[in-house]
Amino acid sequence: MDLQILLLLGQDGITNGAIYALLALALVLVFTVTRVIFIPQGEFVAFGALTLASLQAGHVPGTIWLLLGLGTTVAVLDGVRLIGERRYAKLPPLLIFNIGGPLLAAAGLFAISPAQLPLAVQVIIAMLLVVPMGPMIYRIAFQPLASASVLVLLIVSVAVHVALVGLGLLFFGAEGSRTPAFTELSFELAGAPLQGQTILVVVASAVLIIGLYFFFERTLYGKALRATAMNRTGARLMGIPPILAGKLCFTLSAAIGAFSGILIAPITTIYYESGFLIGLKGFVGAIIGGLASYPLAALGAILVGLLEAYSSFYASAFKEVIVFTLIIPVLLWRSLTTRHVEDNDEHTDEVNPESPTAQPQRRWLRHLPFAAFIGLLLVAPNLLPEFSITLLNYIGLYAIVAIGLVLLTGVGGLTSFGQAAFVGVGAYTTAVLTTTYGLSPWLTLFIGLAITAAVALSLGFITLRMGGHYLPLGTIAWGISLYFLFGNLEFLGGHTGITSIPPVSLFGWELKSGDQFYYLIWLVVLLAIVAIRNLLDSREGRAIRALRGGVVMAESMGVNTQRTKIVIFLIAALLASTSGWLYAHLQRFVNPTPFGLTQGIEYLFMVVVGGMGHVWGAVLGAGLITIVKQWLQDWLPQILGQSGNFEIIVFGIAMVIVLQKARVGLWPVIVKLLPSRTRQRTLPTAEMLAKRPTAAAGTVLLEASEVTKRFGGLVANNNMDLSVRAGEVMALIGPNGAGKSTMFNCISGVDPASAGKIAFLGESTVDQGSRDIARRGMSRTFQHVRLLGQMSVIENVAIGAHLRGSKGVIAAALRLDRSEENRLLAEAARQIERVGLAEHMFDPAGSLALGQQRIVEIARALAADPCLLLLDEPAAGLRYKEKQALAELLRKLRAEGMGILLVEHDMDFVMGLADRVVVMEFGEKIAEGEPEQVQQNPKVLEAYLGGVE
Amino acid sequence: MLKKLTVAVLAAFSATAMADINVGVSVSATGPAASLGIPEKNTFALLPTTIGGEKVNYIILDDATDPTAATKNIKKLISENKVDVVVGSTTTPNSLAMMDVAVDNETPLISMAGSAIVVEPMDAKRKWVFKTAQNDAHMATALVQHMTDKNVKTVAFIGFADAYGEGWFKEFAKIAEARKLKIVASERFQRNDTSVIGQTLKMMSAKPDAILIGGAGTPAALPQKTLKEKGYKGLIYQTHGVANNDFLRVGGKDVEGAFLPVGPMVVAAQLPADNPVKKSAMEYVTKYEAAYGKGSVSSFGGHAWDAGLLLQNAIPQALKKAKPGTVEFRRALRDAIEGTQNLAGAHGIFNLTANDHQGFDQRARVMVTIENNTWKLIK
Repeated sequence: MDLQILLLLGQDGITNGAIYALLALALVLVFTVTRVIFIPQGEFVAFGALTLASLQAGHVPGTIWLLLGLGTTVAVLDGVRLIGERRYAKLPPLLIFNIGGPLLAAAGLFAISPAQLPLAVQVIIAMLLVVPMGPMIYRIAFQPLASASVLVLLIVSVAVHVALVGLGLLFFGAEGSRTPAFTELSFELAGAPLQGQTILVVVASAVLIIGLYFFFERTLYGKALRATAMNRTGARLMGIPPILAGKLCFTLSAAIGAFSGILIAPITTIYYESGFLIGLKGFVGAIIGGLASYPLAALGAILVGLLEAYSSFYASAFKEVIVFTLIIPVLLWRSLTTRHVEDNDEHTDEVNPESPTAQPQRRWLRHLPFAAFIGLLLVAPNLLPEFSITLLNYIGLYAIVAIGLVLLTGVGGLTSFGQAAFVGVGAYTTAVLTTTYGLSPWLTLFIGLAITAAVALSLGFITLRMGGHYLPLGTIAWGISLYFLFGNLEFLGGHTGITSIPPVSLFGWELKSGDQFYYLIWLVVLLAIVAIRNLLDSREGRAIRALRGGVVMAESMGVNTQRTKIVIFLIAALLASTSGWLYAHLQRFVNPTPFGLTQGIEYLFMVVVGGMGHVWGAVLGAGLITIVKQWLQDWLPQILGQSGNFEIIVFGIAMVIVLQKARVGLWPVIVKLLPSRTRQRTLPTAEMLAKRPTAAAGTVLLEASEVTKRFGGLVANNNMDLSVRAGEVMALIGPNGAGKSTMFNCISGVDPASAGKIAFLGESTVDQGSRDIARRGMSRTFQHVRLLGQMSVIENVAIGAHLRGSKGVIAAALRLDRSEENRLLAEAARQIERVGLAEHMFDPAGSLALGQQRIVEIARALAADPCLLLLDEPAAGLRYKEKQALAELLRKLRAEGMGILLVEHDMDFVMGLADRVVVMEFGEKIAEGEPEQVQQNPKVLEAYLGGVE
Repeated sequence: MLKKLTVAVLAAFSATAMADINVGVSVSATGPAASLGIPEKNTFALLPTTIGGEKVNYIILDDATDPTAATKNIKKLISENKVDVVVGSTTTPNSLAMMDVAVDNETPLISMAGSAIVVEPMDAKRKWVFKTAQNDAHMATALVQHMTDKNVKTVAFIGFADAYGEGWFKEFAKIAEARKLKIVASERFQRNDTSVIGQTLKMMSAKPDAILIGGAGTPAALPQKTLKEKGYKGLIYQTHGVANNDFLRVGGKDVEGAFLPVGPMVVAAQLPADNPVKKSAMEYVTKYEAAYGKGSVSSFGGHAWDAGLLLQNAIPQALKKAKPGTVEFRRALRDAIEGTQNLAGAHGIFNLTANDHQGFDQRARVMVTIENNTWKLIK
């Protein structure tokens, strides 16, 4: 290998890497401050470069109209609010900035010929036209969603990207542009010429990075941004408004993007859609840096640049595959070094998965809409014109994928942009095996499913251990690399594709035409719907739905959340693969195009529009998007008299509106229009579940000694000792912040202790997770109630009995789990009756008063048949009578031989109930004994009387 | 609900008169092949609206360079618009995807894509498929001829990582091998790559006498600019895909001296008066530029124009045998197109046979070079 070539490649890598680094910094900044994963970052690059190119060519750049449009929207949105609040004085600056400025700029550009201006002035004009779009986009798309989850923000971000790319094509056309170099200087490097502009790119990037460093370290705004990034709530308390911080970082991000574009436009050709890949590579850099550290992100980005340069030398056809596959080992490494499972608590999502128990009473009535749907499907080919059957075929294919996404995203709270790639795996497997090897399509279906399962399992294993946003990012990367892999492998037909795929035959009958295939497709759709609905209404289904309530609660109830996540990822992938198999035999031709990222994004759009939490939402979304897209493609160009990706623009904008105004999607809206359904009141009668043998009264259940818990330098628990015996109530009391809940978390394995010994039933729990501890008979409630508000009380309680059943996903989907399911529900009902909430059995848990919700948590814990019960402030929010009833219940449980560990502030409640009391202050035990003894203890008196309470 | 919507929406589309001749068109006016598809789409506005005394409707759909959309389009054109013939699509994958539907419905399909596999090898399916664009092999032969004339012994290839680059490499490699040209490097790049330095260095380290860039439109300029920048002194060849004004605009002085084969219409004005294609090519160029501005014409629009010419030639014959809107008419039209003889188009002279559904000969391409930022015919 030639040293000179190595050097030149290194130089190329660093030049590109410098730009990726700038973008990576902007991405990290935006993410840490606003939690938005800003996919459209790259569009600023393209807009900056192409706006400058337009100016130089003497055209008025289309971006001015976008700026005017965005500005007007902002002015209207904020203007309405200001008028509502009667703050008229603020109106003129609002109008001047958002409408006056762009108008003035437009007038100026028409009046003078921008091509005549000096380069520096053109650059400034281009920046002025593009940079204000940053804060405007923030105001329009993201500000109303400030409290939404990272995933919702990510979907909005993708929608904005899609709309901007569509606009880019409209403004700048399909062909690329290039601008003259800032400098014509040229140097010699290792015997080869080196352009001055290349050096300029690297130097300018470095200067900008240093400038950003000083901005964050030395200026007030910079510090404010840093503060917001570290702690949003804290920053708000310090008087830094989050909206200002958001606008500021979007301005910076737009400026960095546009400037990057202007920097590279002289050394490469920029196209309207160039930004996406550039931005994505910056992204890979940012991910390598963990989306948190600026220096690591910059280094990661330069690494990406270098990798790209060297792989374009050694294996140019596989360059993108190599670059985007790099993410996978990085994620694997990160997931293996992150020991603790992150709890991505996102209770803010009001997406409500349907509640299967809330169904009409009579069986035939319950199934009426479904039967009617099947009837319509059966007669459709005879009634509808031929092309609608074609459309219905595609709708069916999309719906199969979307149903998987409903399970994954809507119910399980995980997002994947890579479903199209799984469709591709199914389609390509059958295409290759049936054409080249002449295998039967029925055989290749299963081979395709097996390959998909292998890919999904390994990918899931890598990405699902990480926080919520690593899965979507991982799937974006995997979607891109698989697309290029399809295109570059000779035996997969390359980019041109594979023709003459044989039709599927069924009992010697060839399904050649669309009408015949129609029945097969919709049969699969219906089977998928039934199976997923069955699954959701089962033990495993509740575990899946519990994922949205956060990992902590589910794990404490014995749900293996890691496994559950992988299972739903697998199911979604298998459904996608099946759709791909159908696609290949319907189309009888495959090439990589339909399996790219764009289609992956569209699947997600279908689910969002239809209704994320509803299986039928998937069908609705697939239908709506397909039909509307068809319609827009036909009519928009005619209305606007020009060709372009208008439907993409409309889609992007519609998606933002849907996510802002109706995040639940359209299906719930339609359901509301239907007559309301009566709720099931009958309870299954079933034999009791097997019970755990009770321990003899007085047996030591829990023995904790010298337990210490540190959070960084803060010691929350120090040398705590504690024991609980069977048949006693042990109370743990102490002032606020004494470390009681921390102790609870150590005992239940939610947040393991830093040091010390904890033995449960004589065995150490040091190495055990909360799930294993729960399995051995410890169950708990939470200080901050962790119920699934949209799910009925009985379903919430049934989650507690998770470990007392064993039927899995397949049994649930096939309805082979009914006798066990009835026993689980009967057990849940028994516990609800026991705690006195029988009349709320079928109400959504979120509709109960907070005190009652705490009682539901107790019922849920009891459904696990524990021998040790941990109750975190069970009496808070209860009225006197309710407290008495609760005390009565606890006494009864004690008499049955259960051990109870109680954290409570209500002293009357504690003292009247507890057998022994441990008092904590500042993380240490200050007293232990019978209630009367403790009440006399001077240390305790001082702690309470001298304390805040 | 969904059903009703479907019916309502679809009912809106199906309002086409039955007696007229309906020509369905699917072009890639958006997506990666947009720079090819847009001039094609523009050309349909210039085609005659009556042929053989019958009114002709052109129903133009965009397939966004996506084969699924192309399939949907042809299904729609056939079932909703009852078209007698379909013209499309711009790219090879899209044309291949449409083929099955055309055959199943006995509807002639005229593709504008480059790769010969659209019409070769002739079989029961391809019986219904025709193609107006020169096969990549036509172009590659001229190119290889020029290379051997220039005494080129070794050549490196860099092409799009897509169907266009792939098709070109296959054809070029086949012909180069036959002519004892040695291919010393074969690289790929993405249309919107920001740098091709790695590929350029790889090719240059193999020291080829010539380098062929297999790309279309402005993206094909980047490799040539990089080669110039890195000091490559050998010959540089481009393909006919670059023959539009945007390529010259972006390429500037760096693409001077490149050789490429093109359809004769690109240099129609420079053709000698006795060239049989000159008149028909000039007619298209004049019409297109009158409608869309001087210098706006590109070679791809010519394929759409030629599809129009094939139809103008064949439809009157088919009308003698059957009425439009019937399968008999479509069969007659297919036979008539297959029988096209000595038809001068914008790109060449069509002589179709049962085995050759493209029909061009060596008159369908000329070698040009880029001189003073314009295409110059090599006499």
